[in-house]
Amino acid sequence: VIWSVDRASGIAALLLSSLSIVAGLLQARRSRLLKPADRFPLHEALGIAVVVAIALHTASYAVDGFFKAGVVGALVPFASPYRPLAVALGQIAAYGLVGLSVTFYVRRRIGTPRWRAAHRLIPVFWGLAVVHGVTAGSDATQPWFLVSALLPVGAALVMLAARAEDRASSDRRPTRSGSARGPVAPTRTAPGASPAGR
Amino acid sequence: MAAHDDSQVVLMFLADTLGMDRQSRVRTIRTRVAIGATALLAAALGAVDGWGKAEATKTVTTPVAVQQPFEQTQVDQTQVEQTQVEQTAPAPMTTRQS
Repeated sequence: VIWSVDRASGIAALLLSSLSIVAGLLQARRSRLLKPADRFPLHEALGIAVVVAIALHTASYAVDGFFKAGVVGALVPFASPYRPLAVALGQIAAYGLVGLSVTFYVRRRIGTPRWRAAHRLIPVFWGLAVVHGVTAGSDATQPWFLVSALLPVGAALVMLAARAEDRASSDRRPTRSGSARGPVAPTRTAPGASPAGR
Repeated sequence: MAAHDDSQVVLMFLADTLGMDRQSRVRTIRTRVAIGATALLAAALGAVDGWGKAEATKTVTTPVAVQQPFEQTQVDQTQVEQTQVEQTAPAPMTTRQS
């Protein structure tokens, strides 16, 4: 049962993090997919769900009787007895995703620009999580997994590519009055969030 | 003064109403995400566990006893038993090797 929970929570974490990235990137785009007021709460709720799924994935891996990874093997990168490199990618991804997500709640203390710069690193750790899922996951070659992961992971990749394109075109565009960003990057202030928020 | 008070009351009422709407909307979204995430976890659990067991059952129930000449029956029976022991190993062990 624990082994099944481990695999299922890992898959859930991967899919939820992909959806969270999509919801986060939707905040900066004009889209009819979601009401603007719903985007930030959805992004935040998905982020919390990702943290819970990662916690479950890590805990079930630590107590799994087959791998005997233990707390150290589950928490310390490269200490896992099972595929150390592949598991380490997941561990680093987990630290990045959880750590950078939590910084939202201390953004006033660390400063919004610093928080925003850190928040933009999340897709890098999400990419590590995808690689971890493919290299360490024993269901990675199963058709049902590939089909179910294709849509959210693909959507996140498309959204990230669109965002990169927006930023590139914004950088190429001459700015007025010294503004670094033109209208291509609309406000990322969440409806209802503090002015210092996203 | 009275008009001023009335407008303040209206503004406070609107702010409260909009705030309540937003709070209830956020609560609704969080609840839906929690339900969705739980359903996703359950579906993944069913996929990795239920379908895996179905495949393992198929493997175990594959007929292994075959008609053999009388001279080879003892040896074959031992092999069959050994095969059955290997095949009736816990399903996760089989899956983990993949």
